[in-house]
Amino acid sequence: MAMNRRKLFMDTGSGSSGWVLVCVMIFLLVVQASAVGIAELVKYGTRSAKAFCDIEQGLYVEPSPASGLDSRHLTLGAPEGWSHRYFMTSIELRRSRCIDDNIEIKSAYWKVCLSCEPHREIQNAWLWGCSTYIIVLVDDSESMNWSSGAGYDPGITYLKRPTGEVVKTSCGFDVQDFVKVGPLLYFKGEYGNSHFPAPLSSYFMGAMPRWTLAFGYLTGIVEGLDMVKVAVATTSRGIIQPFTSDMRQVEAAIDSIHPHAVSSPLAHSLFSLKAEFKDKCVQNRYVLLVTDGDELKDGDVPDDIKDFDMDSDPMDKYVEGLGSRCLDDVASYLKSMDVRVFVKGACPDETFLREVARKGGGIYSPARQDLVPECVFISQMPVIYGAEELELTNCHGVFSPKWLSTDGAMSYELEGEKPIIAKKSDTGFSGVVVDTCVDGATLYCSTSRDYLLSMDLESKALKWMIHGLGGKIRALNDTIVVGPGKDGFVYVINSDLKVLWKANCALALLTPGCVYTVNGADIEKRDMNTGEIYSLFSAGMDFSSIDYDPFYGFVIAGTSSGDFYVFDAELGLHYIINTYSDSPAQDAGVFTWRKKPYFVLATDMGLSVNTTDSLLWYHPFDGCSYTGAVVMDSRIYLGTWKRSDTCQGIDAGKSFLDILDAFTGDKLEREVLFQGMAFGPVIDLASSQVYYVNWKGDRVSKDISGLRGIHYSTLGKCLKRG
Amino acid sequence: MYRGFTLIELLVSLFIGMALILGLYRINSMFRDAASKIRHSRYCIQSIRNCLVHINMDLLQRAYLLPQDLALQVNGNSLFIAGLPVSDRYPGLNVNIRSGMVPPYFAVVEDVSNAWIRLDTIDIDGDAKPDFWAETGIITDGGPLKISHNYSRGNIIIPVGFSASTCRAGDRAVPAVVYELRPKGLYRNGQLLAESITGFDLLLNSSVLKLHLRASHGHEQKEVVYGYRIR
Repeated sequence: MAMNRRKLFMDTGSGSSGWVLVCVMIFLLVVQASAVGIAELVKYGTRSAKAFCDIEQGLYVEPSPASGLDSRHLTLGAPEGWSHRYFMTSIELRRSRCIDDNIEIKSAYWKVCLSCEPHREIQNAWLWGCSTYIIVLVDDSESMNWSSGAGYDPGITYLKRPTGEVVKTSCGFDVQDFVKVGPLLYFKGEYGNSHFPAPLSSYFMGAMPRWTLAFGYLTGIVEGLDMVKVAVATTSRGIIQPFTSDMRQVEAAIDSIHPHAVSSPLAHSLFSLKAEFKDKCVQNRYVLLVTDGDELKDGDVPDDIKDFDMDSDPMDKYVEGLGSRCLDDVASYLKSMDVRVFVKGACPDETFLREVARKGGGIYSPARQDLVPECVFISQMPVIYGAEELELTNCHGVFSPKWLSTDGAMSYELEGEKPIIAKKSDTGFSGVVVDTCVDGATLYCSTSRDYLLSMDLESKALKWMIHGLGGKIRALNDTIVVGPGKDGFVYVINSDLKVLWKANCALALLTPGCVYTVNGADIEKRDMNTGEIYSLFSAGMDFSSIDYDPFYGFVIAGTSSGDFYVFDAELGLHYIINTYSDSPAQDAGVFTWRKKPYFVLATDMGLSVNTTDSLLWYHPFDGCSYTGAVVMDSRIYLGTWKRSDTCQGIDAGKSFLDILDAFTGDKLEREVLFQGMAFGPVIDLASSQVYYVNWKGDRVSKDISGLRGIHYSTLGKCLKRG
Repeated sequence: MYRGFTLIELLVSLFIGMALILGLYRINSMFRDAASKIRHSRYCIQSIRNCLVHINMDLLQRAYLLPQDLALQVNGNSLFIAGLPVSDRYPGLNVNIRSGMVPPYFAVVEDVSNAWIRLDTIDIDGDAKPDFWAETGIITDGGPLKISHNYSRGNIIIPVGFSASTCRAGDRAVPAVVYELRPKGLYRNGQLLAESITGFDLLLNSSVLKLHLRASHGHEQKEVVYGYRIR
C-alpha cells in the first residue's frame, strides 16, 4: 500500500535525516551552553578559592635562612626593666624574600646583651680559716751594729742614717763614692768597705753591720706579705706596732727601730709575746725573730721554761752578760703553745739560731711563702671571655691563677711622689686581687699590695705590671683610672703608661670624656687628659659612693647619710633622693620603666627603689652587708652577706640571694647561697644563667632563661612589595 | 498533488512554536537571574577578599618595632592593629641609632581627659617624623582609642573619638591601623575599604583573632569566619 504523505506548503528540501540533524545540533547547542555556564561558575569559584588560599598562605610567611638576604646587628641602650650599667639591647634586623609573592620581608628581633659584669671591689679579702698573725721580734741591741762577717756589696748604694744604722737604699741618683744630703750619708758599697766598716766583734770580720742584713731582709719580707696581720716588737721596747694588715704601718714601725739598746733579752722578749696572741679566731700564730743571736742580760724566764727542751744545757739560766741560752727553750715552749718560731739570723754563725728555729717548729731564714699559708682561694668573681671562664685565684696571698703566663711581662714602678712610671728589673708582684676591669680583650687587676696588672685575655699573658697603683679600676678606651690606693691618690694613666694626672681623693668615676673625683663633700668634674677641673659641686655631707648611668648620663653620688644626689654631666643637680635609711650610701643603679628612671639605691642598712620624686619601697638588710644588686626583667637580684659574729673573713658567715619585685619590693624568692661571702652575680647570657661563687670556687646558679629578653624575641615584620 | 496545512496542523505548529519561544525566554531569564546572583555573590566575595587582604597585610606587619603585647585590640566592631602603613609621606617606623631610642617604641600617656589624651611624644622612634595621624587608632595599655579627624599632626595633645577614660596616665600608647564598621561599609583608617561589608564581628583571645565577616549585595549575602593565629 502506497503511503500518502503530506508535505509542507513549500519544499524544505530536507528529508527525515535532516530533521534528525537539526535536533542533534539544537541538543548540542544546549549542552554546550550548559557546559560554558558551568565552566564559568567553576572558574570563578576556583579563582576565589585561590585568592583565599593565597591569603591563608600569606599568614604564615616566615623568613627562612635559605631565602635570607642579610642580617644586621645593632647595639643600643639597656632594655626596659634591666640595669643600665650592665646591660644593652642587641637588635637584629633580618631581610628575606618571599619568592612567590615577590615580597621582601624585614624582621626585627631583640635580646639583652651584656655591657659589663657587675664587679665590685673587695677591699678586705681576709680568710679566717687561713688567718695568720705574725709578730716580728727585732733584736735592737747595740750588737746589731757590729760586723756581720760580710762586706758591703760593691755595686749597691747604702744609706747611713743620722742615728748610725746603715741600710740598703735606692736613692734615685748616682753615687760615686759617697754623697751627703743633709744629715743623710749615701755611699757606694765598695767605698763603704774601706771607709765605713762596722765595729768588729771578737770573731767576725767584714764591714757590713748586722743591722743592714736584718733590715734588708725585713723590708723584703714585709713588702711581699699579704693575707696576714703583723705586729712589730723589739727586744727592748716590746710591742711597738700592734697587729695590722696594713703593711705600710709595719714598714714604718720597722723603719723606726734604732739598734742601740744595751741589752738583748731575746728569750725573755720571746716568752712575753705569747700573751699578745689574743684573737680567738687566729689559725696560725707565728713569731719571726730577727737577731744576731747574742743574748745579753737574758734568761729571765720562769724556771719551768728555762730548760723546757730538757737538753741540760748549763747556760739555760739568767746571765748578766752574754751567754744565756734560754732562747731555744722558750722556742720549744712556744711551739708547745701552738706558736711557731721562725728565725732570721744576722750573723754567719747560724748553728744556735737554726736550732732555735727547729725547736720552735719554724724555719730558719723563712721566705715570704713560708709565712703566708698556701690557701688557694678566689677574691673576685670569675671573668668570662668568649666561651671561657677564667678564675682569679690567689695562692700564698698572691694573685696567681694557673692560666696566667707571666713570662716576658714588663715591670714598672711608680716613682714616689713623681707621677712617673719607671721600668723595674724584677718581675714579681704581690697581693691578692681586689678589683678587676675588662676593657676589650684586656683584663686589668689591682692587688691588695698596690700592683696594677694588665693581662691579654687572648693569649692569657701578663703584659705589664705597675707597682704603686692599686684600688678600684675603671678603664675605657685605653684610659685607666685606678685608685685610691694605699697612698690615697687616684691615678689616670694612658695606654703608653704615662701618668696623665693624679688627685688625692676618696672616689673616682670614669665616664666617656671626663673623670669625676670625690673628696669629702666635694665632687669635681675633671678633664680626662689634664685633670683640669671643669665644674665643682659641694654638698653639706661627705659622699661615700659615686656611680654613672650610661643611659641618661646621670652622675649619682651617695652621701654618708644615705641621700643620693643625681647630677647631669655638668654636675647640674637634678634630684636629691632620700632613702630614709640614714646610713652611708653604697651603690646606685638605674633602670627604665615606661621611659621613667627608677633608682635602685643601696646603703649600709638596706636597699630602696625610688622614682625621681618618691620612695617606692625599702628593703632592710637585717644586719647583712650588701654585696651587689642587678635588675633583670624588672626583678632585682640582691646579694647580701651575713657576717659571722665571731670570726671575720670572706669565708665566714652566710650569703643570701633575694629576688625582689622591682616595683613592689615583694620577695619573690630567697635562697641561702653558701658559707662565706658571695661574689657575683656572674652573668652568663649564653647559657641563660647567673651564678654566684664563693672563696672556694663553689657556685650556685640561677636559671634566667624565662626572663624576657634572654632569647631573641620578635619585634614584628615589615613587608615591602617588589 | 500538493495540499496545504490543515488548521489543526497550523495550530499545533503555532503552539509548538510558542512553547519553544516561551522555553527559550524562560531559559534566558533563568540565565539572567543566575548571572545576577553570581554578580552579587562576586561583589560579596570580592569585598570580603579585599578586607581580608588588607587585614592580613596589617596583621602580618602588626607591632613592627612596637611592644608585642600591644599588637591587637578590639573595641566592639573596631579592630586595632598596632603599626602604621608605609606611604609616600610616611616612612614607617625604623631603628634610629642616632636617637639612641631602644625598640620596642612607644609613647607614654601623660594626661587624659574625656576628649583627648596628651602623650610624652608623637615621634616614638626618634626620626623627627610624627607617628600619629588623624583617623588612625591608638592602642594603649588601657584600651584602644581612635584619633579624631580634627587632629592636627604633630600635636602631643590628641583628640580621640572613643572615651579616653579607659586609659590612664603612665600607659603606653602606640599608633594603630583601625578597621571599623560603619553603615556604608568597612572603613580602614577612616577610608572606605569595602562597601558590601555589613557584618564585622571580632573575637580576640590570647592566641586567636576570630573574624566574622558578612557581606551583602542585592539579595545575596556571604559570610566568612576566619581564625587568625596571633601567637
